[in-house]
Amino acid sequence: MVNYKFVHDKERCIRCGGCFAACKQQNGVPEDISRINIVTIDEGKSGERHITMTCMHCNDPPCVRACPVKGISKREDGIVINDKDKCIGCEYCSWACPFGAPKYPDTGPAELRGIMDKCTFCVIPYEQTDEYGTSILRAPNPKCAGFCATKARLGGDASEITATYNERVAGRLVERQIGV
Amino acid sequence: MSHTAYVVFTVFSQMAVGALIAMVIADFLGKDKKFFETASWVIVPAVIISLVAILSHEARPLLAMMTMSANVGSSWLSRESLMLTVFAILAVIYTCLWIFEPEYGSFKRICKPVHGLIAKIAKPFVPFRKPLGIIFALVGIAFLFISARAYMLLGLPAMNHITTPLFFIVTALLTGTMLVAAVLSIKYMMAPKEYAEPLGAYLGVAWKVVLGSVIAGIIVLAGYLRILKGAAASYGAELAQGMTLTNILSGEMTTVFWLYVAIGFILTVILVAAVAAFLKKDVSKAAVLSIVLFASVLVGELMGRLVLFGANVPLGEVMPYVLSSII
Amino acid sequence: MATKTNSIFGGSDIKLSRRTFTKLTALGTAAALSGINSVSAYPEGLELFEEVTAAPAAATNKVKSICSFCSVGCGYTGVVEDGVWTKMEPWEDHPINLGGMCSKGTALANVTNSPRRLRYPMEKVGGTWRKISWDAALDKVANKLNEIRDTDGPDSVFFCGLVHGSNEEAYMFRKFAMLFGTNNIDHQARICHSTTVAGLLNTFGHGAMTNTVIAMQHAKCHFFFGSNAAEAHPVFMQKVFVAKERGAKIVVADPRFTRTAAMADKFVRFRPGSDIAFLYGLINVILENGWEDTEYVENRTYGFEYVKEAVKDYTPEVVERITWVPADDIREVASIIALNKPSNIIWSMGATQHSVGSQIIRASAILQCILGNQGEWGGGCVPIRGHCNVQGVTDMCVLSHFLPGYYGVTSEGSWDWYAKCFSDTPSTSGKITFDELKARFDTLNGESMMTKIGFAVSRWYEGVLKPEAEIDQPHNIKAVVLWGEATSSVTEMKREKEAMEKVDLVVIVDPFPTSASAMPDRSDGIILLPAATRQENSGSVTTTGREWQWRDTIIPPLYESKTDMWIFQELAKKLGFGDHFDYNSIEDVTREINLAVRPIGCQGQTPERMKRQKENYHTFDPWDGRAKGGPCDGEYWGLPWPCWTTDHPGTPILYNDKAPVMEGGHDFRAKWKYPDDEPNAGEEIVRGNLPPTGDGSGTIHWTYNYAKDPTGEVNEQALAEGNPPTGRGRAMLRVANTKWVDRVPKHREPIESPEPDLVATYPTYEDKKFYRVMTEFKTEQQRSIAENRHVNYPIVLTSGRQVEHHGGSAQTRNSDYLVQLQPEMYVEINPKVANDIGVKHWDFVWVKSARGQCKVRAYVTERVNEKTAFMPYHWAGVFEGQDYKDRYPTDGVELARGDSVNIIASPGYDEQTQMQETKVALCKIEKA
Ligand code: SF4
Ligand code: SF4
Ligand code: SF4
Repeated sequence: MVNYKFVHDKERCIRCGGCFAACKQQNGVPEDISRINIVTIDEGKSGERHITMTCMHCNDPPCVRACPVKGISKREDGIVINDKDKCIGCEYCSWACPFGAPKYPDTGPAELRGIMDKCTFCVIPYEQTDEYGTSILRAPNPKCAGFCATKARLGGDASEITATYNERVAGRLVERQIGV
Repeated sequence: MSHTAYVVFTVFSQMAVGALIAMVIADFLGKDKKFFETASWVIVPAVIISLVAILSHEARPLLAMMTMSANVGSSWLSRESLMLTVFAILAVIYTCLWIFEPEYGSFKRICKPVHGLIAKIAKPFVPFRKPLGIIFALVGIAFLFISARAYMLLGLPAMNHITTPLFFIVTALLTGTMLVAAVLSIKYMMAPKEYAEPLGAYLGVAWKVVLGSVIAGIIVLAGYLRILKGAAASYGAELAQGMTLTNILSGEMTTVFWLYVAIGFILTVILVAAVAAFLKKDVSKAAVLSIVLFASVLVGELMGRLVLFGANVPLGEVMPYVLSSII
Repeated sequence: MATKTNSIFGGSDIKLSRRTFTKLTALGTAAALSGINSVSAYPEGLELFEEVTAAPAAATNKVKSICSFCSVGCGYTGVVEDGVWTKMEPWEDHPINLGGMCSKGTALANVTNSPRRLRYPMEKVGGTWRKISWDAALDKVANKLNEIRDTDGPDSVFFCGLVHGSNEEAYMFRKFAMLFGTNNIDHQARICHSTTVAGLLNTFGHGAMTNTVIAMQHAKCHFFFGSNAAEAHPVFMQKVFVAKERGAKIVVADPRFTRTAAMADKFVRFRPGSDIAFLYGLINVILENGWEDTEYVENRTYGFEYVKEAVKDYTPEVVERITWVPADDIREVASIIALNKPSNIIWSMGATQHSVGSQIIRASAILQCILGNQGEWGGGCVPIRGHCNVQGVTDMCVLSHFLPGYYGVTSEGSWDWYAKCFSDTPSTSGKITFDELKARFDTLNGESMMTKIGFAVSRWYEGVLKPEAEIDQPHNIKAVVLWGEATSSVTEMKREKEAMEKVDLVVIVDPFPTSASAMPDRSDGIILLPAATRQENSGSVTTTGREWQWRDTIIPPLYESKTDMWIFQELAKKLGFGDHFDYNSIEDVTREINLAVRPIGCQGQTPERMKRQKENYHTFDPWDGRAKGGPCDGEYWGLPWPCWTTDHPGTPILYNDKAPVMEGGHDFRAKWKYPDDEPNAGEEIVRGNLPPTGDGSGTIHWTYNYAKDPTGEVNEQALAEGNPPTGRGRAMLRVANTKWVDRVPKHREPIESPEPDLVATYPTYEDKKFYRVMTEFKTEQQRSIAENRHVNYPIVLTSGRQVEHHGGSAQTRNSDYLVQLQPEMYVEINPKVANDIGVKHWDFVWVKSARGQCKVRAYVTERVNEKTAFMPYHWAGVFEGQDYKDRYPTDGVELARGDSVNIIASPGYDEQTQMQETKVALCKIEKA
């Protein structure tokens, strides 16, 4: 059973913005919002690190519980998606989300203005239907992780990506122990 | 993000609850029901203003109206919206019990034909207005709690405290009581002789309620700031609260905060004292002052709510710091 | 325009009907709520859903290609639907980037589809922009160039740019200038790594990065010295982090606490312009502690005694005074890089853009030789190049002092070779003899201009502005052709602007109108030719690690834009040498390169081999970039030059004598001019004992005369003898060329120094006339002191890159994604400086220098210290606070504009190459 997740390796992220632009391009996210938020901590000081934040596809998602119109759901494979046809734009999911992941767009196509948008693990773009009204569903192939310049952002099956991540952490720990 | 919609929505829905409570109290005050009846008209408009405010915020207001209560199973917002619907219905019923009262109900002066029918339906219930009023007021208070619960979220650490419902109750009592007082004062001004006594009776109760609420408000606010301060030190939800406190005391919300304190507390207390003082000597002055007091309470509460929403730092904003310290 | 830039449908997308979709989510929710763990993995689950056939499937085409921003050479896949480039996908098995790209790369489609592109040729007439036809535009350009050629001579035209072009286009550009009859052609390498080329070439034999990016994974210590790779070359960091996770150390020395520095184990902040002193401090400590690799130094280098002598005085304490770095930090850095081997030294513009740039590079190379790193996997000199093909364009020598393949222009033999190549190549029909070629050039004082080095791109405007008598050519420059060249990347922009106003004709060939179209205040005489972007044409591009990759066309040129090849061919026709450009395809040009460009070994990179690699990318091991099995078995990714024959696997590590040459082994160049004062040096320069490698371990051989051997027999002979055709020589710790003032590097203060005392001890060079123009060194340095600039302008200004923008940024400042990430120009200042002048973060400030001023935002940060300020150099479109948005063609106004740091940068130039000194200037900051 797959369980899709992200891992962010802050020892690798360099704030290049690749994930940001990749997501925008892949999903057609409008100008004033982004599904990815890159935050720099302690800028200009030693210990400066960058954190990219998106939806974490929580195991027990507060947003799903909060949404008054049952517009957000967690799929079998762990991906939390929002249905823009149901969304009324109350922003409540964004408040409930510990990461503030769902975003409220002020621009973009008129019919989607004020309708929340969030990371869908790339399975659904910003406009969820094509011009024939057909729902678009894509393979869970997170472009932000695929394009991440340093592979800091890992996205995929939880067990696989945590294994990769743990390997790196182990490598860095060893280095710290033998360090000259 | 603009918080106006939420500010207006919460304050006016609470004002409606408060006004209903005030009307129940008024119902117990003496015989001059005809005088009090007029004030019953304001409850429903307050509910409507709050509804318009909240729907104006939604991208799809119509859809929102239809579906908002779809997730009562887990969403406090759904529950809030459901409770608001219930309360709105009860408020209409309660208002009907006043305005369709066969004797002094004022509706018949407006539209006779409609009146006849509804008055007939209402008639058997009118005698039970007092007990029903108490029940409805309790439902209103429940709504206040549920409404507050909707904002008590993990993602909004600074609001995730008991202070939120307490703030709401204080607002309800302050604004509701004074809304009714203001309407009655206007009514009184039209016929000062006739209504001096019932107004005096109402204001006599009202100023005590308001004073009590203001004191409660001060305690809640102090408690709130204390909680934020206590939390300010560490990471995570605490950090968010610390940042909220900074926003209030030395950030973008500072001006509004001090206006809130100045109008909502200091000016209000002075005005309450003035009303109480004039009540014995000159009801007409007390009436004018009540209107001013209403304005002061309303503005103060709007400011207070603006601070509550505007200064609030959601957890999402500090989450990167949390993540950076744990991974 | 039918561009559906952000289309979100089609492709591999699975289309579901509304009904089934809802079912899916309902199912998912139900399962989640009830806690049922389905046993089926998601991909199988997908088959449950019917595909909808109602929507016609878009014709989808996926093309793999190479990013056209920085030089790491990342691959990506472009998704083209119905002829429209809609999306990109990561090329996940690409041996270099493994799919990773930075924001610029992932915005490539966005850039290409930008509505601000130049759509058709335009001409500025009477102050307004007019659309003209291609034919009319080319006629106008050709007629004017011919007219200038006839009246003033071919040297009165200056060609520059093409740094993003393919090797083929670069070769054509240089050939174009050769046949036009001028050496006045140059490109951005002049202002980015010309000092690297000069420094490394004169030390080792080749002027390029000695490793590949892939090899960085093998290092045990990365020493970033003047490189902010995290912003300038983000994907490079991927390899650095792999090494770090395998125990490597990261050391960063920089005047600024960069994002790279944030990731380092050790960071030292030194004064801009004190690089050589810092490096010598390190060497001093290394020698003091006996950490040098004695065997290596003895066997493989020449001139160590001179170095020993030179570094003797640079004790950590002396160096502390010069560099502002505590002596203990210098000792610590020295110990880290000396004890974690193989270590390398990684630099970019931080080290090159100095008046002593070539010497800084020499000092770096010396450091690597002393530690014995040069020639190791992951060790050695790592100059990371800036643009996607600046390495290739440098190799094709769009330079005023070289012909393709680094044949010097001053030697008639080079011209003879090319006259032969142009005639013999089967790719074109044209024939030309040496004499005919020579006749195309002007003469000055009876000497042909053919063998005279032309103007450098950093100084071309002097050819317009200086009186005719003061420049080394018959007449002033009358026309300038900017072929994908950002005018804002050149210092002394005010003079450049003046020059652009004075010339008769400005031709701009670019996919965008660019800020160059708006900069000169002129109402006529600018012609804009819409060139295709690099995503709209194909050709080979060389990464910073000398790997050749084939860049494929994602979509045909949009609007009326044309490929560079087409423009060259048409222009050449109109100028009368079209028969030398009648290539049938771009591959024909590659074949001509394979034939002609011999010194650096470009024989192996045939179009067929490159394409075969591209198809079999998955057979290459990302750990060392070598194919394991398959059709490319044994080849290194990109056939890094030198790739001597079509059987050679490429040379990933230069000067690696541990591997047989046919396995990618190499050695230092053996052929040098004898130093005049040491007639016997030749013997020392050739290696005595050869490495015990492979089968034929080589013969002691002076050198092979392979560079002008059209048959390739000499190459074969050398390889058969187990030697690289360049011979087996030694690294020249002391340069052979006696024309160098400092044959061993020596610290010299920058032209604008904040420390006048140090100027007295470490003065710069004497004034010097080279590249056709007098260049002030000492005069300007003394002027700076006389004007008290160190007091009036107390802050040292340095400049550099932002990750979201690239070069002059004509492309990136027109991409909405990138502009969202980085919308405005700023100057980074320390909080103390900001508080002292009373500005808050993001307020406007004036940054002033003796040359001019810039109005920009203040970025208050501790990245810089109180004595330093930093500005990114990508910005243009605003000139000294004045927005030029009204001067662009209406549709082409750049999305984000900002003041240019190069208006106020220093007027210093490198003593070897005319590299501009952008990294040290004196400035002051005032509240705006
Ligand atoms: S692409 Fe990777 S390295 Fe770049 S900002 Fe995103 S997570 Fe960080
Ligand atoms: S939107 Fe927020 S709460 Fe919902 S799954 Fe994503 S991270 Fe969790
Ligand atoms: S998984 Fe896709 S939708 Fe989610 S943040 Fe990454 S690119 Fe955007």
